[in-house]
Amino acid sequence: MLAIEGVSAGYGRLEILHKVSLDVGPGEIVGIIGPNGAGKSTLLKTIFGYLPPFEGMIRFGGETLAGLSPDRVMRRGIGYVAQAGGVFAHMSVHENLVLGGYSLGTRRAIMTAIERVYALFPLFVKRAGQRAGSLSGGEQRALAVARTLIVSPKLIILDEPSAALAPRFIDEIYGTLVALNRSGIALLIVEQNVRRILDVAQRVVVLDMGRNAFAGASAELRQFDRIRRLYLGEDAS
Amino acid sequence: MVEEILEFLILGMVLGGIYALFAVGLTLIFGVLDIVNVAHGEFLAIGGYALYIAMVIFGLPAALGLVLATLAVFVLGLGVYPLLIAPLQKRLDRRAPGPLFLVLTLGLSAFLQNSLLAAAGGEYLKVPPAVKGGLDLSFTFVSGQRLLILVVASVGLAALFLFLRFHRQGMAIRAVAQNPAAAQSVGIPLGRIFTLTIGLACALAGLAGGLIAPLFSVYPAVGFTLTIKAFAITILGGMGNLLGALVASFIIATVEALSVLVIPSEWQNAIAFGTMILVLLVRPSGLFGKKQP
Repeated sequence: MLAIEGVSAGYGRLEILHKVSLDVGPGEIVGIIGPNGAGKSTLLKTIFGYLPPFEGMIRFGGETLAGLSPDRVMRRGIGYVAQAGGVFAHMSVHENLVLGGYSLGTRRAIMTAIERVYALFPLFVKRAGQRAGSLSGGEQRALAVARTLIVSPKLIILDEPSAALAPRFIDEIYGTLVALNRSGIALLIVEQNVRRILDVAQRVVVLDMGRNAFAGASAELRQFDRIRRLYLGEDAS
Repeated sequence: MVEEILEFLILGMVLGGIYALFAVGLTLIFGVLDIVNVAHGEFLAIGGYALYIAMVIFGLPAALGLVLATLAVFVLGLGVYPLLIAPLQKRLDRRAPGPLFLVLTLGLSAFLQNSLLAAAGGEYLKVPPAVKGGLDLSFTFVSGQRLLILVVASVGLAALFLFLRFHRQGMAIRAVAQNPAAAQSVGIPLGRIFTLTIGLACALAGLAGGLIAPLFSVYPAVGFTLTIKAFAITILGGMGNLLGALVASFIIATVEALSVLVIPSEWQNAIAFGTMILVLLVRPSGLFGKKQP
Protein backbone atom coordinates (compact mmCIF):
# COMPACT_ATOMS: atom_id res chain seq x y z
CA MET A 1 0.00 0.00 0.00
CA LEU A 2 2.77 2.42 1.03
CA ALA A 3 6.01 1.77 -0.83
CA ILE A 4 9.22 3.72 -0.30
CA GLU A 5 12.24 2.99 -2.42
CA GLY A 6 15.70 4.51 -2.32
CA VAL A 7 14.58 7.71 -0.61
CA SER A 8 17.21 10.28 0.36
CA ALA A 9 16.11 13.39 2.21
CA GLY A 10 17.14 15.95 4.80
CA TYR A 11 17.12 19.59 5.75
CA GLY A 12 18.42 22.17 3.29
CA ARG A 13 21.49 20.55 1.78
CA LEU A 14 22.12 18.29 4.75
CA GLU A 15 21.27 14.74 3.77
CA ILE A 16 19.99 12.70 6.70
CA LEU A 17 18.34 9.74 4.97
CA HIS A 18 20.40 7.78 2.47
CA LYS A 19 18.44 5.57 0.06
CA VAL A 20 15.96 4.24 2.60
CA SER A 21 13.36 1.68 1.55
CA LEU A 22 10.35 0.24 3.34
CA ASP A 23 6.77 -0.75 2.70
CA VAL A 24 3.53 -1.09 4.61
CA GLY A 25 0.80 -3.48 3.49
CA PRO A 26 -2.94 -2.95 4.02
CA GLY A 27 -3.94 -3.48 7.66
CA GLU A 28 -0.35 -3.96 8.79
CA ILE A 29 1.51 -2.46 11.75
CA VAL A 30 5.10 -1.61 10.85
CA GLY A 31 7.53 -0.20 13.39
CA ILE A 32 10.58 1.97 12.73
CA ILE A 33 13.26 1.83 15.40
CA GLY A 34 16.83 3.01 15.65
CA PRO A 35 19.09 5.14 17.79
CA ASN A 36 18.63 8.88 18.23
CA GLY A 37 19.54 10.78 15.10
CA ALA A 38 19.01 7.74 12.86
CA GLY A 39 16.55 9.73 10.74
CA LYS A 40 13.30 8.11 11.92
CA SER A 41 11.32 11.35 12.28
CA THR A 42 12.91 12.70 9.10
CA LEU A 43 11.60 9.66 7.25
CA LEU A 44 8.03 10.24 8.51
CA LYS A 45 8.21 13.93 7.63
CA THR A 46 9.42 13.05 4.15
CA ILE A 47 6.61 10.53 3.60
CA PHE A 48 4.00 13.05 4.74
CA GLY A 49 5.39 15.87 2.60
CA TYR A 50 6.85 18.18 5.25
CA LEU A 51 10.22 17.58 3.60
CA PRO A 52 10.74 17.03 -0.12
CA PRO A 53 12.80 13.91 -0.94
CA PHE A 54 16.10 14.54 -2.76
CA GLU A 55 15.64 11.29 -4.66
CA GLY A 56 13.71 8.06 -4.56
CA MET A 57 10.12 6.95 -4.87
CA ILE A 58 7.23 7.25 -2.43
CA ARG A 59 3.99 5.66 -3.57
CA PHE A 60 0.70 5.15 -1.80
CA GLY A 61 -2.00 2.96 -3.34
CA GLY A 62 -0.12 3.10 -6.64
CA GLU A 63 0.05 6.92 -6.76
CA THR A 64 3.24 8.87 -6.20
CA LEU A 65 3.41 11.11 -3.11
CA ALA A 66 6.87 12.60 -3.58
CA GLY A 67 6.62 16.37 -4.08
CA LEU A 68 3.08 16.70 -2.66
CA SER A 69 2.47 19.07 0.25
CA PRO A 70 1.19 17.55 3.54
CA ASP A 71 -2.39 18.76 2.96
CA ARG A 72 -2.43 16.83 -0.34
CA VAL A 73 -0.80 13.71 1.13
CA MET A 74 -3.46 13.79 3.84
CA ARG A 75 -6.21 13.82 1.23
CA ARG A 76 -4.85 10.56 -0.24
CA GLY A 77 -5.87 8.79 2.98
CA ILE A 78 -2.89 9.14 5.31
CA GLY A 79 -3.12 10.51 8.86
CA TYR A 80 -0.16 11.99 10.72
CA VAL A 81 0.32 12.20 14.48
CA ALA A 82 3.28 14.35 15.51
CA GLN A 83 5.49 13.50 18.44
CA ALA A 84 4.32 16.43 20.56
CA GLY A 85 2.32 19.59 20.14
CA GLY A 86 0.16 18.19 17.38
CA VAL A 87 -3.11 19.67 18.66
CA PHE A 88 -4.41 23.22 18.32
CA ALA A 89 -3.69 24.13 21.91
CA HIS A 90 -5.75 27.34 22.06
CA MET A 91 -8.85 25.70 20.63
CA SER A 92 -11.40 23.43 22.27
CA VAL A 93 -11.38 19.66 21.89
CA HIS A 94 -14.47 19.95 19.69
CA GLU A 95 -12.88 22.60 17.46
CA ASN A 96 -9.85 20.35 17.03
CA LEU A 97 -12.13 17.58 15.80
CA VAL A 98 -14.06 19.95 13.52
CA LEU A 99 -10.74 20.98 11.95
CA GLY A 100 -9.91 17.30 11.54
CA GLY A 101 -12.81 17.25 9.08
CA TYR A 102 -11.63 20.33 7.16
CA SER A 103 -11.15 18.32 3.97
CA LEU A 104 -14.66 16.82 4.15
CA GLY A 105 -16.20 20.10 3.07
CA THR A 106 -19.81 20.02 4.22
CA ARG A 107 -20.81 20.70 7.81
CA ARG A 108 -23.11 17.66 7.86
CA ALA A 109 -20.32 15.29 6.75
CA ILE A 110 -18.03 16.72 9.45
CA MET A 111 -20.65 16.38 12.20
CA THR A 112 -21.50 12.78 11.25
CA ALA A 113 -17.80 11.89 11.33
CA ILE A 114 -17.34 13.62 14.70
CA GLU A 115 -20.22 11.65 16.23
CA ARG A 116 -18.50 8.46 15.10
CA VAL A 117 -15.21 9.55 16.69
CA TYR A 118 -16.91 10.64 19.93
CA ALA A 119 -18.32 7.10 20.15
CA LEU A 120 -14.77 5.73 19.93
CA PHE A 121 -13.40 8.26 22.46
CA PRO A 122 -16.18 8.88 25.00
CA LEU A 123 -13.69 10.81 27.15
CA PHE A 124 -13.81 13.67 24.68
CA VAL A 125 -17.59 14.03 24.86
CA LYS A 126 -17.27 15.38 28.40
CA ARG A 127 -14.21 17.42 27.46
CA ALA A 128 -15.63 18.82 24.21
CA GLY A 129 -15.52 22.43 25.40
CA GLN A 130 -12.15 22.18 27.15
CA ARG A 131 -9.10 23.89 25.69
CA ALA A 132 -6.94 21.23 24.03
CA GLY A 133 -3.77 22.71 25.54
CA SER A 134 -5.10 22.01 29.04
CA LEU A 135 -5.43 18.26 28.42
CA SER A 136 -2.74 15.92 29.77
CA GLY A 137 0.04 14.79 27.42
CA GLY A 138 -1.61 11.41 26.92
CA GLU A 139 -5.01 12.96 26.24
CA GLN A 140 -3.49 15.39 23.74
CA ARG A 141 -1.96 12.51 21.85
CA ALA A 142 -5.24 10.61 21.92
CA LEU A 143 -6.94 13.76 20.58
CA ALA A 144 -4.40 13.97 17.77
CA VAL A 145 -5.14 10.33 16.89
CA ALA A 146 -8.91 10.92 17.15
CA ARG A 147 -8.58 13.94 14.87
CA THR A 148 -6.99 11.86 12.10
CA LEU A 149 -9.92 9.41 12.29
CA ILE A 150 -12.49 12.02 11.26
CA VAL A 151 -11.60 11.43 7.61
CA SER A 152 -11.24 7.62 7.90
CA PRO A 153 -7.61 7.25 6.80
CA LYS A 154 -6.23 3.99 5.42
CA LEU A 155 -2.86 4.53 7.07
CA ILE A 156 -1.81 6.51 10.13
CA ILE A 157 1.79 7.56 10.63
CA LEU A 158 2.78 8.13 14.26
CA ASP A 159 5.98 9.71 15.57
CA GLU A 160 6.78 8.17 18.96
CA PRO A 161 3.30 7.81 20.40
CA SER A 162 4.73 6.76 23.79
CA ALA A 163 7.20 9.65 24.15
CA ALA A 164 7.09 11.42 27.53
CA LEU A 165 4.05 9.44 28.70
CA ALA A 166 3.62 7.54 31.96
CA PRO A 167 3.34 3.71 31.51
CA ARG A 168 -0.41 3.77 32.17
CA PHE A 169 -0.96 6.23 29.33
CA ILE A 170 1.36 4.26 27.03
CA ASP A 171 -0.87 1.23 27.64
CA GLU A 172 -3.93 3.31 26.82
CA ILE A 173 -2.60 4.80 23.61
CA TYR A 174 -1.31 1.44 22.39
CA GLY A 175 -4.65 -0.17 23.33
CA THR A 176 -6.32 2.42 21.10
CA LEU A 177 -3.84 1.87 18.27
CA VAL A 178 -4.27 -1.90 18.30
CA ALA A 179 -8.06 -1.50 18.27
CA LEU A 180 -7.80 0.86 15.30
CA ASN A 181 -5.58 -1.60 13.50
CA ARG A 182 -8.15 -4.37 14.08
CA SER A 183 -10.70 -2.15 12.34
CA GLY A 184 -8.46 -2.26 9.27
CA ILE A 185 -6.26 0.83 9.54
CA ALA A 186 -2.58 0.28 8.76
CA LEU A 187 -0.06 1.91 11.12
CA LEU A 188 3.51 3.07 10.59
CA ILE A 189 5.01 3.85 13.98
CA VAL A 190 8.36 5.36 14.91
CA GLU A 191 9.13 4.25 18.43
CA GLN A 192 11.96 4.47 20.96
CA ASN A 193 10.16 2.00 23.20
CA VAL A 194 11.40 -1.08 21.35
CA ARG A 195 9.75 -3.71 23.53
CA ARG A 196 6.40 -2.02 23.06
CA ILE A 197 6.65 -1.85 19.28
CA LEU A 198 7.91 -5.42 18.97
CA ASP A 199 4.78 -6.51 20.86
CA VAL A 200 2.36 -4.93 18.41
CA ALA A 201 4.13 -4.64 15.04
CA GLN A 202 4.17 -7.50 12.57
CA ARG A 203 7.32 -6.11 10.99
CA VAL A 204 10.02 -3.65 11.99
CA VAL A 205 12.56 -1.59 10.13
CA VAL A 206 15.77 -0.57 11.88
CA LEU A 207 17.38 2.67 10.75
CA ASP A 208 20.94 3.53 11.65
CA MET A 209 22.79 6.65 10.51
CA GLY A 210 20.05 7.28 7.96
CA ARG A 211 20.33 3.86 6.32
CA ASN A 212 18.34 0.63 6.41
CA ALA A 213 20.09 -1.57 8.96
CA PHE A 214 17.51 -4.32 9.24
CA ALA A 215 14.03 -5.11 8.01
CA GLY A 216 12.01 -8.16 8.93
CA ALA A 217 9.42 -9.73 11.17
CA SER A 218 9.35 -8.60 14.79
CA ALA A 219 9.91 -12.18 15.96
CA GLU A 220 12.96 -12.40 13.72
CA LEU A 221 14.41 -9.21 15.14
CA ARG A 222 14.23 -10.53 18.67
CA GLN A 223 16.68 -13.25 17.64
CA PHE A 224 19.39 -10.80 16.66
CA ASP A 225 21.92 -10.58 19.45
CA ARG A 226 23.21 -7.17 18.49
CA ILE A 227 19.74 -5.66 18.31
CA ARG A 228 18.85 -7.17 21.66
CA ARG A 229 21.94 -5.71 23.23
CA LEU A 230 21.53 -2.32 21.63
CA TYR A 231 17.83 -1.75 21.99
CA LEU A 232 16.48 -4.16 24.54
CA GLY A 233 19.34 -3.78 27.02
CA GLU A 234 19.66 -7.55 27.30
CA ASP A 235 22.88 -9.42 27.72
CA ALA A 236 23.07 -11.65 24.67
CA SER A 237 25.68 -14.01 25.98
CA MET B 1 -15.97 70.52 31.19
CA VAL B 2 -18.03 67.31 31.48
CA GLU B 3 -19.65 68.11 28.16
CA GLU B 4 -16.25 68.66 26.60
CA ILE B 5 -15.00 65.34 27.94
CA LEU B 6 -18.10 63.58 26.57
CA GLU B 7 -17.61 65.24 23.23
CA PHE B 8 -14.01 64.06 22.97
CA LEU B 9 -14.98 60.60 24.22
CA ILE B 10 -17.39 60.25 21.31
CA LEU B 11 -14.63 61.43 18.98
CA GLY B 12 -12.35 58.82 20.57
CA MET B 13 -14.87 56.07 19.91
CA VAL B 14 -15.19 57.06 16.24
CA LEU B 15 -11.42 57.23 15.87
CA GLY B 16 -11.12 53.92 17.74
CA GLY B 17 -13.40 52.23 15.23
CA ILE B 18 -11.12 53.30 12.37
CA TYR B 19 -7.97 52.32 14.26
CA ALA B 20 -9.51 48.94 15.09
CA LEU B 21 -10.50 48.15 11.48
CA PHE B 22 -6.95 48.95 10.50
CA ALA B 23 -4.94 47.49 13.40
CA VAL B 24 -6.93 44.26 13.72
CA GLY B 25 -6.12 43.47 10.10
CA LEU B 26 -2.45 44.30 10.59
CA THR B 27 -2.42 42.05 13.67
CA LEU B 28 -4.18 39.24 11.80
CA ILE B 29 -1.50 39.25 9.09
CA PHE B 30 1.22 39.25 11.73
CA GLY B 31 -0.41 36.45 13.74
CA VAL B 32 -0.89 34.17 10.73
CA LEU B 33 2.12 34.95 8.50
CA ASP B 34 4.58 36.44 10.99
CA ILE B 35 4.95 39.39 8.64
CA VAL B 36 4.57 43.08 9.45
CA ASN B 37 2.70 44.63 6.53
CA VAL B 38 4.18 48.11 6.25
CA ALA B 39 2.05 48.67 3.13
CA HIS B 40 -1.21 48.38 5.10
CA GLY B 41 -1.73 52.15 5.02
CA GLU B 42 -1.57 52.18 1.23
CA PHE B 43 -4.44 49.68 1.05
CA LEU B 44 -6.41 52.13 3.18
CA ALA B 45 -5.52 54.92 0.74
CA ILE B 46 -6.61 52.77 -2.20
CA GLY B 47 -9.95 52.22 -0.45
CA GLY B 48 -10.36 56.01 -0.34
CA TYR B 49 -9.49 56.39 -4.02
CA ALA B 50 -11.86 53.57 -4.95
CA LEU B 51 -14.68 55.33 -3.09
CA TYR B 52 -13.78 58.60 -4.82
CA ILE B 53 -13.96 56.91 -8.24
CA ALA B 54 -17.27 55.22 -7.39
CA MET B 55 -18.99 58.27 -5.85
CA VAL B 56 -17.48 61.32 -7.52
CA ILE B 57 -16.57 60.03 -10.98
CA PHE B 58 -19.31 57.44 -11.53
CA GLY B 59 -21.89 59.07 -9.25
CA LEU B 60 -22.78 55.83 -7.50
CA PRO B 61 -24.58 55.90 -4.15
CA ALA B 62 -22.33 55.95 -1.07
CA ALA B 63 -23.33 52.52 0.26
CA LEU B 64 -22.58 50.84 -3.06
CA GLY B 65 -19.35 52.84 -3.28
CA LEU B 66 -18.24 51.57 0.15
CA VAL B 67 -19.00 47.97 -0.77
CA LEU B 68 -17.15 48.31 -4.09
CA ALA B 69 -14.15 49.98 -2.42
CA THR B 70 -13.94 47.19 0.15
CA LEU B 71 -14.23 44.54 -2.54
CA ALA B 72 -11.61 46.21 -4.74
CA VAL B 73 -9.05 46.31 -1.93
CA PHE B 74 -9.96 42.72 -0.97
CA VAL B 75 -9.17 41.54 -4.49
CA LEU B 76 -5.94 43.57 -4.53
CA GLY B 77 -4.97 42.10 -1.15
CA LEU B 78 -5.57 38.58 -2.47
CA GLY B 79 -2.67 39.15 -4.85
CA VAL B 80 -0.09 40.00 -2.19
CA TYR B 81 0.68 36.49 -1.02
CA PRO B 82 0.87 34.62 -4.35
CA LEU B 83 2.59 37.44 -6.25
CA LEU B 84 5.06 38.76 -3.65
CA ILE B 85 5.42 36.74 -0.47
CA ALA B 86 5.23 33.19 -1.84
CA PRO B 87 7.94 33.72 -4.49
CA LEU B 88 10.28 35.21 -1.87
CA GLN B 89 9.53 32.35 0.54
CA LYS B 90 10.28 29.89 -2.22
CA ARG B 91 13.59 31.52 -3.03
CA LEU B 92 14.58 31.60 0.63
CA ASP B 93 13.62 27.93 1.02
CA ARG B 94 14.61 27.11 4.59
CA ARG B 95 17.06 29.95 5.11
CA ALA B 96 16.10 32.46 7.75
CA PRO B 97 14.17 35.33 6.16
CA GLY B 98 15.68 37.91 8.51
CA PRO B 99 14.28 41.35 7.78
CA LEU B 100 13.60 40.60 4.11
CA PHE B 101 9.81 40.52 4.41
CA LEU B 102 9.87 43.88 6.20
CA VAL B 103 11.89 45.30 3.33
CA LEU B 104 9.46 43.67 0.87
CA THR B 105 6.35 45.28 2.38
CA LEU B 106 8.19 48.59 2.84
CA GLY B 107 9.04 48.42 -0.86
CA LEU B 108 5.40 47.66 -1.67
CA SER B 109 4.34 50.63 0.45
CA ALA B 110 6.66 53.02 -1.39
CA PHE B 111 5.68 51.52 -4.75
CA LEU B 112 1.95 51.90 -4.11
CA GLN B 113 2.27 55.41 -2.67
CA ASN B 114 4.31 56.61 -5.65
CA SER B 115 1.96 54.87 -8.09
CA LEU B 116 -1.00 56.68 -6.51
CA LEU B 117 0.92 59.94 -6.72
CA ALA B 118 1.72 59.37 -10.39
CA ALA B 119 -1.77 58.21 -11.32
CA ALA B 120 -3.93 60.58 -9.28
CA GLY B 121 -1.63 63.47 -8.45
CA GLY B 122 -0.88 64.73 -4.99
CA GLU B 123 -3.93 66.92 -4.40
CA TYR B 124 -6.42 66.29 -1.62
CA LEU B 125 -9.55 64.86 -3.21
CA LYS B 126 -12.84 65.67 -1.52
CA VAL B 127 -15.43 62.96 -1.10
CA PRO B 128 -18.98 63.88 0.00
CA PRO B 129 -20.16 62.30 3.26
CA ALA B 130 -22.16 59.11 2.88
CA VAL B 131 -24.88 60.35 5.23
CA LYS B 132 -26.05 63.89 5.68
CA GLY B 133 -27.23 65.46 8.90
CA GLY B 134 -26.34 64.01 12.24
CA LEU B 135 -27.30 63.60 15.85
CA ASP B 136 -27.87 66.60 18.08
CA LEU B 137 -26.96 65.70 21.66
CA SER B 138 -27.56 69.23 22.99
CA PHE B 139 -23.96 69.51 24.25
CA THR B 140 -22.47 68.42 20.95
CA PHE B 141 -23.38 67.53 17.41
CA VAL B 142 -22.24 64.15 16.02
CA SER B 143 -22.15 64.16 12.23
CA GLY B 144 -23.87 61.38 10.33
CA GLN B 145 -20.56 60.29 8.83
CA ARG B 146 -19.10 59.74 12.31
CA LEU B 147 -22.11 57.71 13.39
CA LEU B 148 -21.78 55.70 10.20
CA ILE B 149 -18.12 55.01 11.00
CA LEU B 150 -19.07 53.73 14.46
CA VAL B 151 -21.82 51.46 13.15
CA VAL B 152 -20.00 50.12 10.08
CA ALA B 153 -16.73 49.55 11.97
CA SER B 154 -18.57 47.66 14.71
CA VAL B 155 -20.44 45.52 12.19
CA GLY B 156 -17.27 44.88 10.16
CA LEU B 157 -15.26 43.86 13.20
CA ALA B 158 -18.06 41.70 14.61
CA ALA B 159 -18.34 39.98 11.24
CA LEU B 160 -14.60 39.28 11.21
CA PHE B 161 -14.61 37.84 14.74
CA LEU B 162 -17.66 35.66 14.00
CA PHE B 163 -16.05 34.48 10.77
CA LEU B 164 -12.85 33.50 12.60
CA ARG B 165 -14.81 31.81 15.37
CA PHE B 166 -17.35 29.77 13.43
CA HIS B 167 -16.66 29.62 9.70
CA ARG B 168 -14.68 26.69 8.35
CA GLN B 169 -12.12 28.96 6.64
CA GLY B 170 -12.00 31.29 9.66
CA MET B 171 -11.21 28.35 11.91
CA ALA B 172 -8.55 27.30 9.43
CA ILE B 173 -6.99 30.77 9.70
CA ARG B 174 -6.81 30.40 13.49
CA ALA B 175 -5.44 26.87 13.10
CA VAL B 176 -2.64 28.07 10.82
CA ALA B 177 -1.80 30.89 13.25
CA GLN B 178 -1.50 28.43 16.12
CA ASN B 179 0.17 25.46 14.50
CA PRO B 180 0.93 25.50 10.76
CA ALA B 181 2.30 21.94 10.68
CA ALA B 182 -0.78 20.51 12.41
CA ALA B 183 -3.01 22.62 10.14
CA GLN B 184 -1.40 21.02 7.08
CA SER B 185 -1.87 17.58 8.60
CA VAL B 186 -5.65 18.06 8.66
CA GLY B 187 -5.63 19.09 5.01
CA ILE B 188 -5.49 22.89 5.26
CA PRO B 189 -3.50 24.35 2.33
CA LEU B 190 -1.25 27.02 3.84
CA GLY B 191 -0.96 29.08 0.67
CA ARG B 192 -4.70 29.51 0.30
CA ILE B 193 -5.10 30.52 3.95
CA PHE B 194 -2.24 33.05 3.70
CA THR B 195 -3.85 34.52 0.58
CA LEU B 196 -7.27 34.78 2.23
CA THR B 197 -5.84 36.27 5.44
CA ILE B 198 -4.11 39.15 3.66
CA GLY B 199 -7.18 39.66 1.47
CA LEU B 200 -9.46 39.99 4.50
CA ALA B 201 -7.07 42.26 6.38
CA CYS B 202 -6.72 44.51 3.33
CA ALA B 203 -10.50 44.57 2.87
CA LEU B 204 -10.85 45.95 6.41
CA ALA B 205 -8.22 48.60 5.63
CA GLY B 206 -10.04 49.46 2.41
CA LEU B 207 -13.31 49.80 4.31
CA ALA B 208 -11.59 52.09 6.83
CA GLY B 209 -10.19 54.13 3.93
CA GLY B 210 -13.67 54.56 2.46
CA LEU B 211 -15.14 55.52 5.81
CA ILE B 212 -12.60 58.24 6.61
CA ALA B 213 -12.42 59.63 3.06
CA PRO B 214 -15.13 62.29 3.66
CA LEU B 215 -13.43 63.39 6.91
CA PHE B 216 -9.78 63.55 5.88
CA SER B 217 -9.94 63.76 2.04
CA VAL B 218 -8.03 61.31 -0.12
CA TYR B 219 -4.31 61.63 -0.91
CA PRO B 220 -1.50 59.11 -1.50
CA ALA B 221 0.03 59.26 2.00
CA VAL B 222 -3.29 59.32 3.90
CA GLY B 223 -2.62 55.90 5.47
CA PHE B 224 0.99 56.32 6.44
CA THR B 225 0.60 57.94 9.88
CA LEU B 226 -2.08 55.39 10.62
CA THR B 227 0.35 52.57 9.83
CA ILE B 228 2.83 53.88 12.39
CA LYS B 229 0.02 54.41 14.89
CA ALA B 230 -1.22 50.88 14.24
CA PHE B 231 2.24 49.56 15.13
CA ALA B 232 1.84 51.25 18.52
CA ILE B 233 -1.63 49.69 18.89
CA THR B 234 -0.38 46.25 17.84
CA ILE B 235 2.45 46.39 20.35
CA LEU B 236 0.21 47.68 23.13
CA GLY B 237 -2.33 44.92 22.45
CA GLY B 238 0.30 42.19 22.21
CA MET B 239 1.72 41.19 18.82
CA GLY B 240 -0.66 38.83 17.07
CA ASN B 241 -3.42 39.24 19.66
CA LEU B 242 -6.61 40.29 17.84
CA LEU B 243 -8.71 41.09 20.88
CA GLY B 244 -5.73 42.98 22.31
CA ALA B 245 -5.50 45.05 19.13
CA LEU B 246 -9.23 45.79 19.32
CA VAL B 247 -9.06 47.02 22.92
CA ALA B 248 -5.78 48.89 22.36
CA SER B 249 -7.30 50.70 19.36
CA PHE B 250 -9.98 52.23 21.56
CA ILE B 251 -7.53 52.98 24.39
CA ILE B 252 -5.12 54.83 22.09
CA ALA B 253 -7.92 56.67 20.25
CA THR B 254 -9.64 57.74 23.47
CA VAL B 255 -6.41 58.87 25.10
CA GLU B 256 -5.50 60.71 21.93
CA ALA B 257 -8.87 62.46 21.76
CA LEU B 258 -8.95 63.37 25.45
CA SER B 259 -5.33 64.52 25.49
CA VAL B 260 -6.41 67.50 23.36
CA LEU B 261 -7.96 68.90 26.53
CA VAL B 262 -4.64 69.00 28.36
CA ILE B 263 -1.88 68.72 25.77
CA PRO B 264 -1.38 71.03 22.78
CA SER B 265 -2.57 69.11 19.71
CA GLU B 266 0.78 69.46 17.93
CA TRP B 267 2.29 67.26 20.65
CA GLN B 268 -0.29 64.48 20.24
CA ASN B 269 1.62 62.20 17.89
CA ALA B 270 4.90 62.65 19.73
CA ILE B 271 3.20 61.59 22.94
CA ALA B 272 1.45 58.62 21.30
CA PHE B 273 4.74 57.27 19.94
CA GLY B 274 6.58 58.09 23.15
CA THR B 275 4.02 55.93 24.93
CA MET B 276 4.64 53.15 22.41
CA ILE B 277 8.39 53.23 23.07
CA LEU B 278 7.73 53.24 26.79
CA VAL B 279 5.42 50.20 26.52
CA LEU B 280 8.08 48.40 24.45
CA LEU B 281 10.70 49.04 27.11
CA VAL B 282 8.54 48.23 30.12
CA ARG B 283 6.31 45.49 28.77
CA PRO B 284 7.45 44.26 25.33
CA SER B 285 4.69 41.63 25.18
CA GLY B 286 2.06 44.38 25.37
CA LEU B 287 -0.80 44.79 27.82
CA PHE B 288 -2.43 41.47 26.98
CA GLY B 289 0.56 39.39 25.95
CA LYS B 290 0.94 37.41 22.77
CA LYS B 291 -2.03 35.15 22.27
CA GLN B 292 -2.83 33.42 19.04
CA PRO B 293 -5.95 34.65 17.23
